[in-house]
Amino acid sequence: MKKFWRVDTKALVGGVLLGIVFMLVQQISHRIDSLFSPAVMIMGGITWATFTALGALLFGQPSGIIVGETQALVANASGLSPVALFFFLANGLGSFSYSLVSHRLSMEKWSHHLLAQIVANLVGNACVLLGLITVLKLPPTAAIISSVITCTAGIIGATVLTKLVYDNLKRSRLLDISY
Amino acid sequence: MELFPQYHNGDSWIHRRDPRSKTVFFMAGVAVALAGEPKSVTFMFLVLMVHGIMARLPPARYKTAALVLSVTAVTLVVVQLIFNGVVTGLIMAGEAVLRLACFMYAFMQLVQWTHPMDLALMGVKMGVPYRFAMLPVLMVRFIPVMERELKGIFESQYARGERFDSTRQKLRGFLPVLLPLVLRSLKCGQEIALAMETKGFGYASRRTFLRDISFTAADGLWTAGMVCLSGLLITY
Repeated sequence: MKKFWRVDTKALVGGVLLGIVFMLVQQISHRIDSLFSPAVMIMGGITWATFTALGALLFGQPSGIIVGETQALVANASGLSPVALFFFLANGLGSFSYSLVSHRLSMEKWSHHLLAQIVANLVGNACVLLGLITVLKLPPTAAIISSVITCTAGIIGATVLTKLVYDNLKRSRLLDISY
Repeated sequence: MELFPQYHNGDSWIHRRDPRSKTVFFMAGVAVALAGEPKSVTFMFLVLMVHGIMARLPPARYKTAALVLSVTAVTLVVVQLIFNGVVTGLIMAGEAVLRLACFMYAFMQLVQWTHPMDLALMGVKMGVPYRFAMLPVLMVRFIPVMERELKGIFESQYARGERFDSTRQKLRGFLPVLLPLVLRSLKCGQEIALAMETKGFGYASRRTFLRDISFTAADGLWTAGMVCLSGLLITY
């Protein structure tokens, strides 16, 4: 059985470092999104969901939340996105909800990753939706359409990416994943 | 390119303040940036700027932030023009950029004039277990390290024939950069955790620190002044 709660040094430190990588990858993907689709974060959504999942899968909680909050902190300090303030809520709740699902599943099948991603993306994008309406002052319909597109891209793209990266990590034995 | 500002070593009046009063100063700036009218936000931005000059923070450190903010500003303008028309859209985008700039500036000042260890000490004084209070210190310390790793991976992939000139090439080269970076961070995390544990990190439930923080009368006055000012600016 996977451990839900891990406060060992390896998990805490690993969470911080993965959070920094998360932030660096988000910087790249947000720039790509700004070029192609300023109103819809497709690459940003996929990388967000992938790293939220990886943090929760590799380190459990509270390190999964630490991964997300590290990214949110730097995103706010560096002006990554106008709705960055809502990342604190989205990243924390997204990671926690992903853990709640993945904790009960073996995460060996595609369907397990898909289910966990659906829950995490719905929770996370609902938080960002609030930001789109309150900060960007987007009309609710436009904000919902934008969130649905980001959410769909996140679910599909991140399910594939997470499974690939997670399986590669398990095969590499780089991390002792047997908690 | 420095994405996250590092601590600026100085001995100004602001540098000597207690981290708790600096945090209240930061929160006052953020509160006005989020809840104040545009005129109040502009005034708060000027107050922050005066404090920045008092702390002798080098203006060159804001170059990257200004660049990132300009990209975000373009995104904001495009989105507002699409949904709210030219005049309203530009006003709304301008207001959002102003708030974001004020928020960013306050945050950058906090991390530049507060030593990371002082933030950890503040956490410990507030009852946070030191194992968690030390994490921001670790984050600030390892951001430049991971940035160097990313640069190294880009250069390695470039040497192997991957190109990152056009946007299409950047998109295609995204995964070959992502995976080594994740693997490197995990390996690095394991090494750091092992090094920390061999030095006794986490062995005792309490630990002592070489330095201490103290809240002086000057801190109290500064904090009270900022709380009053932010209250006035929000209700104005």
